[in-house]
Amino acid sequence: LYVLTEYIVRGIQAGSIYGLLALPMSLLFATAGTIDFAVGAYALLAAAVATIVAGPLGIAMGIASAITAAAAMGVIFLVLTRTGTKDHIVFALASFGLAVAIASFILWQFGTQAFVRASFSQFWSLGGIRISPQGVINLGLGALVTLLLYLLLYWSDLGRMMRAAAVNPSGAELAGIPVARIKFGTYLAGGMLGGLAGIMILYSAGLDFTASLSLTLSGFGAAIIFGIASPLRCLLGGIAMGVAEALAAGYTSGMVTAMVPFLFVLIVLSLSNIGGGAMAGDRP
Amino acid sequence: MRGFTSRPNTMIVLGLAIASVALAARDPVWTDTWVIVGVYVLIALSTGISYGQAGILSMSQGAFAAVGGYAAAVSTLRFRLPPGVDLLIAAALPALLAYGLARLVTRLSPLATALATLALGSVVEIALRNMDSITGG
Repeated sequence: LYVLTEYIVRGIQAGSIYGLLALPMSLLFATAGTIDFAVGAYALLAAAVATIVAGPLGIAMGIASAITAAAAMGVIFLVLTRTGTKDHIVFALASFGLAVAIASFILWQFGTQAFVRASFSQFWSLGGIRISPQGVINLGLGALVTLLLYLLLYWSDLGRMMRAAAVNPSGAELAGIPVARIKFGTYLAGGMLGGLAGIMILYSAGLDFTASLSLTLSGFGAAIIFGIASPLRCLLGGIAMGVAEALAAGYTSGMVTAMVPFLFVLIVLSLSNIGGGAMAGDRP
Repeated sequence: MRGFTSRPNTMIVLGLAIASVALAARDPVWTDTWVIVGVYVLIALSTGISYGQAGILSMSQGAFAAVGGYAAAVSTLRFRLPPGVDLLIAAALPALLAYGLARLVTRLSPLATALATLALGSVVEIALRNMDSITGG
């Protein structure tokens, strides 16, 4: 039981990162009805840039480069929309292409090195359970960002416009809400959140150029497990996935651990009625 | 003969392809290129059938191809089966996997289908990479 508790604590600390990756999935799905497969790639790009530039400047530049990449995706989205694309899968495929391009760029520029930076050498001990200070920072940041996003969505004018654009795009357009710009902004927010998650991974478990797809699917899995609708559920979903992964790492082989995010997505998709309203982008 | 006039581009590509096949037999580089072309054509065909004809975007075609490739290699190298038999196994095993997947995804929305097949493709890839005793890593 003692070991179990340690795994769960470790999972909760790691899970906040997945929660952070789940937020852009939830946001973009709600406002644009599509998936940005490149969120994991933004995280990878941010971590890579923060590796070559030292200190707080590196963190800022990492997140800035992630936002720039997300802006590229936003422009692709706008161009596709202007040329009359209606099918949401096309946007998802375009972002998939961008994700592969970013991962290839990282491989080309940085090689196969792992991006990892140790921030704390000491671990805290709480009743004999090891707690990493970075994990606590991650959890705190994840909760803070989730709370800010919740407030933004439900207590601000911008949030109300975003929800309006999600529920009824043409009605929102008629009411003078710049729906296309809001969707573009959602892509940018996805870049920022993805970049922040990438920095957090850089300072905890680390990642390499192959991580982008698995990060995207981890975020997506975390977003759908308790329903894709609300930011709070994203954080909880991320924590659930982190715990599942930590337990798999503790009790099974590395193969199963690597599979956890994908199995998560498969099981949740097959159990839930996602063909119905659950994934149709309904946000009250 | 209407095909010749109504589809000029297809005919040009086809003509070039036939001409280069003659070259392919002489030069190993060309042979190799044509093998890769054939592989990509088959994978494109499988995507064409599922997405183009049936509207189901499956992101796990590469995983099916990998399963078939490993099945053929393992049955030849380990079980010493004749080439014709391992071709059958290489086609049957991914088809079986695809049947299970199809039962799962056909009732999902298009986006969810793409995600579920992508997740399955990644699971297959991880499994193949990790089953060292069977696949050689």
